[in-house]
Amino acid sequence: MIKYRQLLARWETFLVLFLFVILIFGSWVSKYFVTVSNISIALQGVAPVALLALTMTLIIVTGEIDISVGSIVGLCAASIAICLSHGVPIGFAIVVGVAVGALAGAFNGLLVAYGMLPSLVVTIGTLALYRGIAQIILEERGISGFPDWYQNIGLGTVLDSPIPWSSTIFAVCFFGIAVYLHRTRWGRALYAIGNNREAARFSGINVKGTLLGIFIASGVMSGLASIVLTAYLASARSDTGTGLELPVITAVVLGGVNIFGGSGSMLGVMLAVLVLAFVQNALGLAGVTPEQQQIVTGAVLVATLVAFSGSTLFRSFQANLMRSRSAGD
Amino acid sequence: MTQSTDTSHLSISASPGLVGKMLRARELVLLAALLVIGAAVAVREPRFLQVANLNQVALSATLVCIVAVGQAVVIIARQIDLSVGAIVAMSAFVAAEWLSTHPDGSIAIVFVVGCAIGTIMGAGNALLVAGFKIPAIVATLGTLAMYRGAVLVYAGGRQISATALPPGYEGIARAYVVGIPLLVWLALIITVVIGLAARFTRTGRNLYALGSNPESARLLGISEARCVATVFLLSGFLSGLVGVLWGARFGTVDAVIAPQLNLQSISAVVVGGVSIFGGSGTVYGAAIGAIIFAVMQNGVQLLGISQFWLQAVLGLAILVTVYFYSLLARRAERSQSDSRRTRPAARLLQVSK
Amino acid sequence: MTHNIELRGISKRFGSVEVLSDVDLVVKSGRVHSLAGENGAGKSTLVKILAGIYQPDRGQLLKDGQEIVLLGPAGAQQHGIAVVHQHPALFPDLSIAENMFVGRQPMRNGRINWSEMFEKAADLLGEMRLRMDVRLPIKMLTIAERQSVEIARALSLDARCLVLDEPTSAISGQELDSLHAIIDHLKSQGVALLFISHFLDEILGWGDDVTILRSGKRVATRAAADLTLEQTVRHMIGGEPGAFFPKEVAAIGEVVLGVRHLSGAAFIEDVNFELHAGEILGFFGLVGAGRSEVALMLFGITRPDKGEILIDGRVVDPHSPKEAMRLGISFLPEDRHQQGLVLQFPIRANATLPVLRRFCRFLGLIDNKSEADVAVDFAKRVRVVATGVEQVTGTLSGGNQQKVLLAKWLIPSPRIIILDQPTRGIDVGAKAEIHRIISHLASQGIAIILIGDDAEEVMAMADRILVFQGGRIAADMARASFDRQAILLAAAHVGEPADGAQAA
Repeated sequence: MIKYRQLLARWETFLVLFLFVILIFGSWVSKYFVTVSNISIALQGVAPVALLALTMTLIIVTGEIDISVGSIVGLCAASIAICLSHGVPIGFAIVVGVAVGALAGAFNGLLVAYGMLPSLVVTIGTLALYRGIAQIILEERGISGFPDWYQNIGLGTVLDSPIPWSSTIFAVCFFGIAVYLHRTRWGRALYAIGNNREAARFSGINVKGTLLGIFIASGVMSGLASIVLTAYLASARSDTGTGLELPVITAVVLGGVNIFGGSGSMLGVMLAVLVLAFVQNALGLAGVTPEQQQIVTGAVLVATLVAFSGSTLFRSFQANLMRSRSAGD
Repeated sequence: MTQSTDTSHLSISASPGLVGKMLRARELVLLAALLVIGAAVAVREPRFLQVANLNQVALSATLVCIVAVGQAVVIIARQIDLSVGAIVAMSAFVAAEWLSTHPDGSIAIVFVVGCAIGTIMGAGNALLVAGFKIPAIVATLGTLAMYRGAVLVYAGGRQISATALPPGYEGIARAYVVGIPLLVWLALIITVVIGLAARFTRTGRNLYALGSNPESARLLGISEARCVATVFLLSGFLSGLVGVLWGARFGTVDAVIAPQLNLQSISAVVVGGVSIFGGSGTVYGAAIGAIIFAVMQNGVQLLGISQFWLQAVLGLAILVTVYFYSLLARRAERSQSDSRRTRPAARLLQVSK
Repeated sequence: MTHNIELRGISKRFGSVEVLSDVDLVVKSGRVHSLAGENGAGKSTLVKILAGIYQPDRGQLLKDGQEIVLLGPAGAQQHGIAVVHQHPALFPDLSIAENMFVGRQPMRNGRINWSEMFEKAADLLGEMRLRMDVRLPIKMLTIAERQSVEIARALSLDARCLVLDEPTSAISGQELDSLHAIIDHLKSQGVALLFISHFLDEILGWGDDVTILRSGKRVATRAAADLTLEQTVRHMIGGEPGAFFPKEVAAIGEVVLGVRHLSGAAFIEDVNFELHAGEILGFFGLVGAGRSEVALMLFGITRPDKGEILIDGRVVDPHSPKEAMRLGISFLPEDRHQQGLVLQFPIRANATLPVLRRFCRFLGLIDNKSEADVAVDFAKRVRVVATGVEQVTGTLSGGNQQKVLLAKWLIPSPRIIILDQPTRGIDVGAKAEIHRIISHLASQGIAIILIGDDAEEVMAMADRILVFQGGRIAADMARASFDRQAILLAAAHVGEPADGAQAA
């Protein structure tokens, strides 16, 4: 939130308004909408996407992208499944899963930061590679027997409260990453890299190391997301997480983060995640099928972008892309 | 104050080295790579070279190839189209549905309808990107969801099976002309036509200019909106066409077909030497890229490698290719700047007053 | 065939600012008309009006006495006016030939005729006595070569009036000569040329007529031969140029930085020198001679292949900018837009970027107050003119941006500051201020390396000058024996040291 404070506030204000509209719509559709248990369900459904959106925001702010997150989730799920099927204790299996995620993220990061390859293309390649490795490891098999406490992560709530475990995990991660991005010097470095990589380098920022770091973070988060997702689905297969990248990127863009990098706020991303969660939940209660919901999600994204395309926000996004001229020439 | 107008030194550096020449003949390098891969498979498994098998390989490449040609044009213009799979699905389902309910209907009409659907959906993309100036990657992310959702809703879970389709329709996919499948000829013709248009029409060259430097293009009066609209309409049209061909080739059509087509087409384009940043590469390269993937797929099958390895192999192929191209480009740049450095400075700097 | 372009009473206003007021200018066939003026004087707006991008609010444009209206770049092209930019607006991936014919490629039978395009392109270059492989993509050409292509393109559009917008800022030496030769050739062909430059010796040396703008008004038009440098500067700044290069006397102290047998970056060979506290060491040389490359090695952007860098007599290895900063080195890069500043950040964020750590108490959390305080303090010291440290850097003038860059690299309290072309592209007034600051820093004991390609400037500011040529040090001159001719000769010659230039 270093620049365009007022404008970003407008975007977030819009999202808040949208949220209100959805709440009203939802409660009109069903009296169960604004119940605690329903909200809990809605949040649980969106948890993996929400978690991934946090680190995806970091990546997109620097001007890169990671299309392979869904496949990393699948790879982590496959690793966990393979461990479990070989009798490895689940606690250890979870650690393995997250470690695999970190390694996958590191590989992405090495190619992008040190290999200096375009991230879009690299992560399309690793999307296939990681999914492929997951398939090699697990083939057709899958695991579906998890201990209760594990399934609780995805489906259960904290003690006797209605707050889901996955939401708590998200809240903790959100807090940490939001502070990191908006209040620490490393977070500011991300904005510097996203706006002017060369200048960031010349200012003493270790660009390559930073990029590697956030790709690793994305990988670790994919590991975490795979735990939440497999717990939620009560199964771990090689195709777990397929297609996750799309709703994640949708959430980030809907949250006001510039796809080309250099600006965006965590608050916006969180609001966008909530918007998506409640839209899907409300539509579900209204009897709208998941496929139909997809239309709405796409339409929401497009409509928001269209609505803002004429605004100063977009014009300044575009001005961003071109060199700023010295005034008074 | 007249100085000798000997500016011949400027010619020394401005001629390409070997690497530069190689980059220009990129498509030839690709063909060579294709032959090498094919040879590698053939050596291990001579069945690869059987005509029937080669025809199968070519066939399996055609549909991706046609979509990749459209995607290549889009990427050259510095855009991207993530919605191709959804457009194919919509066109395929509408076509198959119509044929199954009108078994005596004209197949030609189906083609027209399918292509029209594709073009209209492409127009939706064009409106968002050219009209509302929404970045293509984000706009087509939205239309991907909307279009796929629309197909799912329209199909309502139905599936049109091959038995419901008129034999003439599937005949298209089984027809051979001069020993080569009709579909292959179709893909070939489309590739060549668009390739020629890209090289020999002003519109085509404008796309390259736009992709290479949008600001300069604008200054020179090239209409960005028109170019962007063109590429999305073309991509939509070709996707619509492939949709109609899909039913012919695969028989069964439902709303979830072509789930990865966007990534497949982008992979073919990238492996084919088209820069993701726009401005360079050819549709021929993209076509060869699609064939390379088909050959690899076939090779995995023939060599008895477990199917589960396929994805990983394809992913590696993309990474290796991109890395290779990047190395080439950097080496070419370096050799150019090196040749300049070692040039002796032999002229006097004169500042007259 | 004459082709005189005349601007009569041209005025242009943006909002409440009158950027051009009643400007008269005649660019005559076969003559070079130089346009001088500080940043903000209106040169760039004038160029845009000639390019058809802006329309004047008042006044007329005349071609050979006939009034014309330029409707957009296409309109300017129709009337034979073309602009060659500082950074040529070409298509990097397209070939030279195609760049010249974008939008109007020669056709035959409804298809583009490539062989004819290649031929025509080669011919056009040949007319300017240039030989290039026209199938090469532009991205493989140097800036000078690209400029030639832009000029060739303009000529192919039958441009009879060429506007050269600061074409010499990024080239030097042979390329400069080539450009001059091309200009002479164009003159002999009767082309009318409007030449804009920040280099006053070029303004007077290359131009036949000179017009000076100040604050949007035309203050003088003379024949170049009738104008001196001092008069030109006086017209430009409207006052005495006396304080142009202020230099304070500074005590030269101990050796702070030593460089021995430094080699690397493919062509830097055996560079040796010592830098003392309070000393201003000038690096002079042509573009590509190695001055900036040595600086990049000192700052950790590139690694040397051989040699040693010593600080206070200890061998050190600046392997990254962060390490170089830790060693007490600050570096203001040549290109303040691409390398120096993040234009989207407010002044405060740019100023504190290298030393953010200092304002973080724990867990990397930034203490906004202390950050802002320091930013305000240093912005005052360098006298940045802005609404405050929250102003977005991109909206500042060139001179103020350079000051922010300076503040940024003063905050780390460096012992050694390397400035690469700190006054490039900024107006005379701001230049003088920056020179004053540099001088003052030296007097405080900071060791300074000043890299520049304006011999006048370097000679006025430096205590010693190292002349770079082809990656080596060709001359090492102390202030007492500064000789402009010798310096320029050393910068241009291969091998032989300039006579009498080896003074210590």
